[in-house]
Amino acid sequence: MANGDPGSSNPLSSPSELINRKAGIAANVVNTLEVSCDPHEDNSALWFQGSVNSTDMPPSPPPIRKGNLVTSLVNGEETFASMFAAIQTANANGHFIYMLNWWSDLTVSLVFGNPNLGALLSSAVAAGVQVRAMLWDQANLPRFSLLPQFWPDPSAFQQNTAQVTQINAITPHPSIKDANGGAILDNNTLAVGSHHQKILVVNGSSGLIGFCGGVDFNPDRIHHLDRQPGSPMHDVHCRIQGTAAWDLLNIFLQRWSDHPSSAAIDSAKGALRGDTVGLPLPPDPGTQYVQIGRTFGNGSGHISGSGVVGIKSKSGNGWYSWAPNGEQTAQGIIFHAIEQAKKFIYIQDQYLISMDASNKLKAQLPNIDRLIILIPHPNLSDLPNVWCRQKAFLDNLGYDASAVLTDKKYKILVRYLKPLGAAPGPPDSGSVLTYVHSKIWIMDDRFAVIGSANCNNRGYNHDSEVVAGIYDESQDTPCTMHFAHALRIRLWAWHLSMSPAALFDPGADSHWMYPFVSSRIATFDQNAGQDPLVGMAPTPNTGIGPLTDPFGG
Amino acid sequence: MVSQVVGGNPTSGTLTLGMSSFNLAIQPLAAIDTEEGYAARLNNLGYYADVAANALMRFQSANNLDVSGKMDDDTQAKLKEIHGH
Repeated sequence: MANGDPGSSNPLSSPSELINRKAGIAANVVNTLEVSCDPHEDNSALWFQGSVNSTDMPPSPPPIRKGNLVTSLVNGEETFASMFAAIQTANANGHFIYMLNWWSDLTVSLVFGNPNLGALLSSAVAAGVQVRAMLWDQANLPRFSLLPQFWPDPSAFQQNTAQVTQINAITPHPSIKDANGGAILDNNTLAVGSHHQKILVVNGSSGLIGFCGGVDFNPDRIHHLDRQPGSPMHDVHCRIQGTAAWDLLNIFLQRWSDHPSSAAIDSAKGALRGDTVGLPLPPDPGTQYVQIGRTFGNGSGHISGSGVVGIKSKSGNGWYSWAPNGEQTAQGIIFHAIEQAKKFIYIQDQYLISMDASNKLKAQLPNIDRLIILIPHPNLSDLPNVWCRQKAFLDNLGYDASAVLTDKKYKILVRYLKPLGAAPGPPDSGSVLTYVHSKIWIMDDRFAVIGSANCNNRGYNHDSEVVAGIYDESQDTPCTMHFAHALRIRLWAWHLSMSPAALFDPGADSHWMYPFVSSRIATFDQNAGQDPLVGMAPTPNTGIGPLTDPFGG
Repeated sequence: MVSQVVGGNPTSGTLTLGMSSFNLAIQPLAAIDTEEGYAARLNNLGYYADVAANALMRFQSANNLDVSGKMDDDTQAKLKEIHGH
């Protein structure tokens, strides 16, 4: 980030202005200085459900992993650079690179001036690395026939088809039998579902490194593309070293082994090297507790009386082998954290339409001082009836866009991203706005969730998703910030165009009350627009019932 | 929060807590009813004053005061109470 990075080499250190600081001192009396770091606090039991290294299966909470090193990655440029560095560590026999993606464009150059992603994968294989990918079968979703007004061009959603072919055609290593490229075009989902996970796992010279979050391998994260209003999108991802990276690897192993097409690839190109990576991993590289939550569709709940299967898994049962009734642990992590918040909840989300989440937030509002939400302006959205759905979400909370003007303690602030320096107000066009694609939650500057799960029924019940719930104890020696605190400061410094030091303290939420021209935020009013189409009112989640969010990104 | 009597007229200092050091540029504390004075107190309390009004807003918000970004009697009283003088 050009602004608001409190130190990429040590992202948990306090902003430099708070370390090298002024002090106003009165002579010969007691003077007081507030030391700007977070005191040590072991509250992991508050923020997580479950137990450390649990082996329980869904619906039980997933294992809590200690000692991880988590790095927040803000926007595409920073994320791609970190991925590029990780991929470079896979350079020898025994190493592997595994990908699970909703959208994967292998022509993307992760770092300007360097070979694109496809070339990186080819070079890795040439060095003895095993490359495997499962890319969602974009063409499998009948969005065009359902609502052609929104997607008139079916060819726009066949991105991953050619990419799978390209990976499978990577020239294999001349002498190492299992060093090659293998990929599956994966439509192993519920009806009208998608694989929305965005996971990269690299096992190289630095050990196991995992990535998850909102960033797809898509040039619209680093460039403006006419096909994507609001690009380059604002997004958040994370890099994880430690046992939680194995949990990301395990998702790949589970999905791969459960897919009907994997056996043929294993037979022809070699078994997964990742299967041999067991726990425990080498000593803890960091201090973060991480719980990896997932969403998988409820296969058994979608089997009809005539025997039509919900999911085309290898077993033929119609469900994922590890979660016959699906898995909603991503939602579980988020909803549990909402219930623990006592000060504020900060959300960045692409859709914001889950009425279950709205109800959960509504119940917690009396217990917190502030709820701040950042979304893309609906003019940018690909979601049918987005105005109607977001209005339902926000009306349920009692949100009134103008209330803060008369009630200085009004709790709910909903904002969208406008151009830096532009006057706040309804935009004439979406073309100048920034699309918020991130899916993150921050509670009380203590707990953070970074993931792929949008705040909708798809994200919490139907598609495949992954989130990382992150907590650390902070330290007194040396002074550090909680991971969540540091991430919140980084993001707000960018959105508000302010110094990180000015956003350290607990009153920083006041800068969201009256959006400044000099900031990137503007007030969202759910009554300021309407949808071109009608007839898709929001309905409650059922987990197995009719799909109410038929589209997503 | 660290409290300490400071004698003499120092212009710089180092606050050491465990392995962490804070480098201090020390200035005489102006009266609380001046912008320089309340900005310095806010800074002492951790409200970094890139713009004094912004720091004041954050202090008011954090202490359940009317958030105006302007000094008023309630804000001054609260600031004096927390800062000590």
